[in-house]
Amino acid sequence: MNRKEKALTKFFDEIEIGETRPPSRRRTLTERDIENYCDLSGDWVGTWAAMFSDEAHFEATRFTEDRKTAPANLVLSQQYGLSPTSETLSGIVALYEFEEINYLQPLRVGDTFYYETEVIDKQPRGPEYGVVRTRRVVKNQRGEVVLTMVARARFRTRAAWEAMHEKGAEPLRERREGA
Amino acid sequence: MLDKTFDELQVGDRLISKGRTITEADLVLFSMLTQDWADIHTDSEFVSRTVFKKRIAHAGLTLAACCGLLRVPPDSPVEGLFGMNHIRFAAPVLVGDTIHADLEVVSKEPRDEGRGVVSLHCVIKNQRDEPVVVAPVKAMVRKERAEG
Repeated sequence: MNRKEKALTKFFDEIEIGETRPPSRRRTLTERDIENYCDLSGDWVGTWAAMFSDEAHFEATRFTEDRKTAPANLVLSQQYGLSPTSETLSGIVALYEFEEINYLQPLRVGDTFYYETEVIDKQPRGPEYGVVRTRRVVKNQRGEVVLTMVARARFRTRAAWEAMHEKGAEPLRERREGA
Repeated sequence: MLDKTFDELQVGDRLISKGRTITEADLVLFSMLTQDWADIHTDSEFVSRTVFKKRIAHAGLTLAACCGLLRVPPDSPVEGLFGMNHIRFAAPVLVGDTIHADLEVVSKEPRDEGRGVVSLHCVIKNQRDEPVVVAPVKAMVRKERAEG
């Protein structure tokens, strides 16, 4: 395992309550992001989409000042993409729950965002898995809080990860490190 | 349901949306949009060794598809949602699954002169009618339609 991977990979048994991570890498929200989101969701009728597909409508409404802001779900999904676990091996099995999501101020086209995270709780679920609660805070380029959330996710232990890969004919980790 | 005013909405009102099949393309496009290339969404070889067996949809993709299925009209009396709490991912959405949304009004409470809060039980279900996402949602709804 190389040094970078060791730093980024976390399994249930290695995660500590109270630990924080360095701020994530950053990303600038573009108009294309919002258009692609509307395309993909199929929502060209709804309120958010209308900001982009019908400017005349929005000139005439109270949303005018909030034109070109990202839907909460886009901010939420894109910050997950900034996570190192989206690029490297990780112990995460699946999300269980978004316990709370607070979209506190709009993220606008041209804003740059990143997230910070803290582990607030962990509970074992048998020898191979556990549930981890984390608070994630998305901030803009001025360091102002844009969105906060608490998520619960299932993680596997390092032993479970290793056992999983013993079964395969070609160990995934070896293949990846060689790539 | 989403074109009704606060006074028109009644406890027990229900909306069952049309369906959408979550495809291979949806997963790839969502990874492109979000830069979330986690194994579980992108690596069939890897997920074949997990409990899921097949790649699972990103949480945000399922929620986005649900928003598209609901098609809240721009002139809807529904002004917006109040926070989003306890969105529980009850089961994975796999490539090829077909999801739909099932909403039911569970309570309503006047807020101020022109608006009220409507609580909805929102469930996203798959083709076997199993819940994949369960969320209690509170919406701010106007008592009158917007003019013009």
